[in-house]
Amino acid sequence: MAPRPHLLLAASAAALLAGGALAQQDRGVSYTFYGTPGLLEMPSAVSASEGALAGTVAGFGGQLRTSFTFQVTPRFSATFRYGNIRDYQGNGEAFYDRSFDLRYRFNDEGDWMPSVALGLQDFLGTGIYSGEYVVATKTLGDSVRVTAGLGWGRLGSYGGFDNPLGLLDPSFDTRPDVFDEGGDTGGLPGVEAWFRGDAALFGGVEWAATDRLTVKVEYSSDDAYATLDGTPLFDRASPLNFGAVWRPLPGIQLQGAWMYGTTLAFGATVQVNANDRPFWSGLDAPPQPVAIRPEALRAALTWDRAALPEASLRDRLARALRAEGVVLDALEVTDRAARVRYTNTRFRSEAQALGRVARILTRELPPSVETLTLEPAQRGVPLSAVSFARSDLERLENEPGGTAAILQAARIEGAAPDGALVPVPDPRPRLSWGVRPYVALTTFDGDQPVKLSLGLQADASYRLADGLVLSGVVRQELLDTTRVEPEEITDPDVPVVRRNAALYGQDGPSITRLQLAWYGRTGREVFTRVTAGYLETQYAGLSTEVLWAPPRSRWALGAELSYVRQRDWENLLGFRDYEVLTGLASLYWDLGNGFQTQVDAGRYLAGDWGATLAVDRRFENGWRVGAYATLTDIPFEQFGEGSFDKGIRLSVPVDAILGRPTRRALTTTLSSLNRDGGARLEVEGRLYDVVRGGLYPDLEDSWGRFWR
Amino acid sequence: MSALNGRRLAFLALLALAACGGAGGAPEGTAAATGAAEARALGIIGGVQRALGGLRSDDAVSAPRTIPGGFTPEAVAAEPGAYRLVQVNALGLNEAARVIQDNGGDETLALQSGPTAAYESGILTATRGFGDDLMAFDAPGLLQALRAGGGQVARRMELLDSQDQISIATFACTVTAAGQEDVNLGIRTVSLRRLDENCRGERVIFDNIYWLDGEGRIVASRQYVSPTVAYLRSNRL
Repeated sequence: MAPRPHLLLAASAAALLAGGALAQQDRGVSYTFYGTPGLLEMPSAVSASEGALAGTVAGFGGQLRTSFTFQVTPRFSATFRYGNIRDYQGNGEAFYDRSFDLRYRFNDEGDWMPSVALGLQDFLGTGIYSGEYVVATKTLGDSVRVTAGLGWGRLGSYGGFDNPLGLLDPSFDTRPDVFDEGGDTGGLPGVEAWFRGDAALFGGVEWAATDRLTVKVEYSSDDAYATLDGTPLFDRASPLNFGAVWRPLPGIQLQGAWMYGTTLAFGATVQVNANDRPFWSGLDAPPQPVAIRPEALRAALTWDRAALPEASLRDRLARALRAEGVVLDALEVTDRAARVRYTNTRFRSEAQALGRVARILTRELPPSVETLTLEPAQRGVPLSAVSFARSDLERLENEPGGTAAILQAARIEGAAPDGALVPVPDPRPRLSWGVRPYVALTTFDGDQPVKLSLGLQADASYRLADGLVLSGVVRQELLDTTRVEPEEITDPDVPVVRRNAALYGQDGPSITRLQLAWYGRTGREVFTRVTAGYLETQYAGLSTEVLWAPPRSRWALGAELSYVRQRDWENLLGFRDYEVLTGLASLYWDLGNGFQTQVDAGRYLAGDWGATLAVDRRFENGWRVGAYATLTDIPFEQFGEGSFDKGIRLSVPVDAILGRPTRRALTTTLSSLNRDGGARLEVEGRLYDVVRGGLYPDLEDSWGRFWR
Repeated sequence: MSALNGRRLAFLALLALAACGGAGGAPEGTAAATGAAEARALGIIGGVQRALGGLRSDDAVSAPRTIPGGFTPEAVAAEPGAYRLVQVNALGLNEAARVIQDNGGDETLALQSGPTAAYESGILTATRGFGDDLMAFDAPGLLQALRAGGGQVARRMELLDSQDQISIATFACTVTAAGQEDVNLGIRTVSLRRLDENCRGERVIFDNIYWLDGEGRIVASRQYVSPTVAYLRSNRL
């Protein structure tokens, strides 16, 4: 029975209102034209609420900046920025710059004590925005906020004075030009320059005139708006900037300002928060309630097979599970125990699927069965085995404390070998397919760092057997933003393995994937994958992977070995003559408190040896925000701009947005540049992503959904 | 209403994104509209999703949910004890519900439109499918207090927060007798004993009402669910 429309509508309307109320918490925070919480150009010591993700596009004086700021913890924030300065190099060519900022706030505001923060701006880029600061902010009453700070580097370029840190050590007096010395490739922390050279004071006042309008005045200590040869980008008549930020809608800020007495600036910020789920626990259909066995039946020791034959039990179970989006893969029922292997096609949280399957088992199984072992599977492979006592389920449904208690009572281990499991035919058609429009973002080197393309995509997959799937994707590009015909890039020093991304599949249809994938296990905790064919847009070959993932531990170990050949620009079946054996060993480690780290080490696509470190903030509701960096034996000068590969990645669970259960997520990776050093094969369905949903750390994260 | 408009716009943007990522599956029930503006918004969302989601064979399994017995007048007449009348003003719900599970006094009702509510001897203990659901709510001693005509009860409530964690709220509740009332049960009006329960928590205060018959059975009630669902009213026929 589907919920009637008006219920969903009313619930949605209420959800929208509640979401609005949540967003109010951030009304006091506005963003600078650098995309960080603060004044207009100058930072403040204010933090957004934890989990806030803000995207800002701002421009003035011939510059355009696109920034993403993530409030990682209540006090720590990180910013990634694409900058574009028109005619920077003097020959009519724009300059594209990527930069990273970090900020840490030491304390919360007290009655008298301001909050104080320390920040590094552009500490990893080419250095044109580089500056460091210490800043204090105090809120007065409920509508005025005053900020004052001390800046170095770019933030010490106007009204500068001798560095007070020079009293500690004379080496602080001069700021070395580390970025020029580094061969102008940037990308390295300019540690030697931090807090060195002249310092200057900056500050400003914000006044919240209404809930939606805040007026700002700042004194800027930045006087470094110039092109490469030192020509000012615009006339600077005054250090004072005047602006106003308007919030027409929750989560949206529009800002305008009169800058440096001569120029206008505009910016827009969109803010979302991983902690802000508009549909609360979701509009998921209700589960079937637990059926408690009457006392008399509970004592039964055997299953009356005449009353309930095994085949009809299997059919009834399969049908009941299907209503929950769960496919019954295999079943084994004895007098006292049942073992159920199933594939959850609906719920992001395997814990929620466990709860639904367990409840259905209490309704369908003969009363003598007391031990229930549930084996969630994906891609034909059981991820783990979770066992419950049926009487615990009967006791704990709808009980306060029941969520924690059922987790405590559950036994989680690796799934046993198939043994006496009886396979159940999959009701789904073997062939599935889809056609839809796509939007693709390609980042690469050259005159235009980003290409946006639009087209049509068709995909199909055919299930040959459990765990063995043939699949393919074909795309036809219809529109793209490339203004110049891309030219092939060649390099005598480094094999060009990624920089020619723009050349692929420009005209005709392109086969973005055509592969045969096989998933298996070699033990209770060891998973395997073999994928062969056209693995991704640019590479084809054979990719093998093994993963050791003990279900109760917070870590997993993996190894991947692939032999691939570079594909032809045409993106059909042809090849270019570059082949490479690439392989990485990986450690996945759940650090707790919502942080997850991954270390990969080995040989990358260009044959370079090195390692990648990635850290992700994983929210229990499925949001993921992370950053990664790869260092390999390709020297920084040969790597080119950026010096090494790094970037940020974001994944948003679709169920949180729509309020309806789905396993889909929107995932994107923004690398600072797509170059050849530290490049990885993009193979679909890596084991850890497939398996982790059934492991203890993930189950525990969303265990609140077990009884939902 | 600006907050509402804002969220709707932000959602449309996010939904467009979701559709780009192949989220597929249009939201159910965009036609028959009660709130015109919301229906329009959802209609646009559905349209955008369908357009961007493209065509897709179904690779997830599903099956219709059925409520055994159904809601035909014959079914209700045959087994009136299994049916209830249910009302949730915040969601515009006013409909029949059926007991789909009876665990010896612990009953789970399924509303005709889908959501379920669990009662322990007539006291609401959980809801599912309302969105902002009551995960669990205990009431040690409440039934005794109601039957005794008054008393003090400490209650513990669990909701699910935006990070899928159980959040707990505790309430101090006072039960007071409020005399005899004629209560309309839909097909008949009966005289019942009314008791009011005033519960105070850190952030929320609510007032439940119970109507008991001569045997001390809860025949009708209006009980608190959660901040957005507010009160669930239910009565026997």
